[in-house]
Amino acid sequence: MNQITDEEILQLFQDKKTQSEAFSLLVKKYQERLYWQIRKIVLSHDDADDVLQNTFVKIWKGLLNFRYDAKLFTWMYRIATNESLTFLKDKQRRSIAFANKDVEEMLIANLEADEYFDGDQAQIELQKAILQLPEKQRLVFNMKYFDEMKYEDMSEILETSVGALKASYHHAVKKIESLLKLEC
Amino acid sequence: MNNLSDMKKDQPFKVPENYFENLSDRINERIEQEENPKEKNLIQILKPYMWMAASVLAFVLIAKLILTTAVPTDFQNQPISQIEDSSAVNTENVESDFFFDSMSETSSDEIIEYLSDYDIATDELLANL
Repeated sequence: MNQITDEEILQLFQDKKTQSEAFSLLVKKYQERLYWQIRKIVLSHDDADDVLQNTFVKIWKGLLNFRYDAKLFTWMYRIATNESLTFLKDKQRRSIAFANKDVEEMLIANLEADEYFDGDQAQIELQKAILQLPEKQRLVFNMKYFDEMKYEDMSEILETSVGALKASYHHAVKKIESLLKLEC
Repeated sequence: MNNLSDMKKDQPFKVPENYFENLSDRINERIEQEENPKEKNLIQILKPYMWMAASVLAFVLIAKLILTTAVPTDFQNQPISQIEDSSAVNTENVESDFFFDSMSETSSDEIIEYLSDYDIATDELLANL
């Protein structure tokens, strides 16, 4: 069976009677991709679950006004990315233990405490190295290295030019390689 | 290991079993709650007032306890009508009794002396009778 297209979902969503069904189809189609995008930013599963739900609530609220200026998928990725970054900042602000520390330190602690992280030592070191990148480079690295996303799609999600994204990825790879060599 | 391409790209992250199977239902529930906030938040709306209600209730209970222990028990058991009768005091004559008692202790000479000190005319006295 062919997967339902975004256009079909949006048409169903316009009708009150089929709105709920359309949204369930949308959630099922994109839940995993959005989850992994969020998870790579917030790292812990519980946080990713919270952010994913917030993301879909925002998508529900904005979907009636969505216009095809951007692809539906990149629009949803942008919401997921913004929600993740906002969540991390709020969490750090609320946390007594990490109030005066960097978000990255909080993320390393989250990662080490997460029962749903099953990486070997090399993967833990890689995640720690990724966390030492500036925020934008970290996003670009995760999207390119793990998801192999096209620069054009990334450009729409992060609202940054393709050239700047390529440069960001290049710098990120060099920095991570140098950090990992130091660690080895 | 010299570069990233030597590393395996396997995801080190896992998710709980059946997480994605139930996700759509949980998200629909969450959206229903967002759409109908009144149903969802009745307890949350009342929560701040519950402290106030609890404080008032505690005050009433403490006041009742204090009054119960402070008032003598034989008085408490008396019917209200009896309490009213026994505690009734005739206040109608209080002022006049007090006035005449004071007057009886004052001699005529003292009254004359008092009046002469204030130089009150006889006409004025008669006018105020």
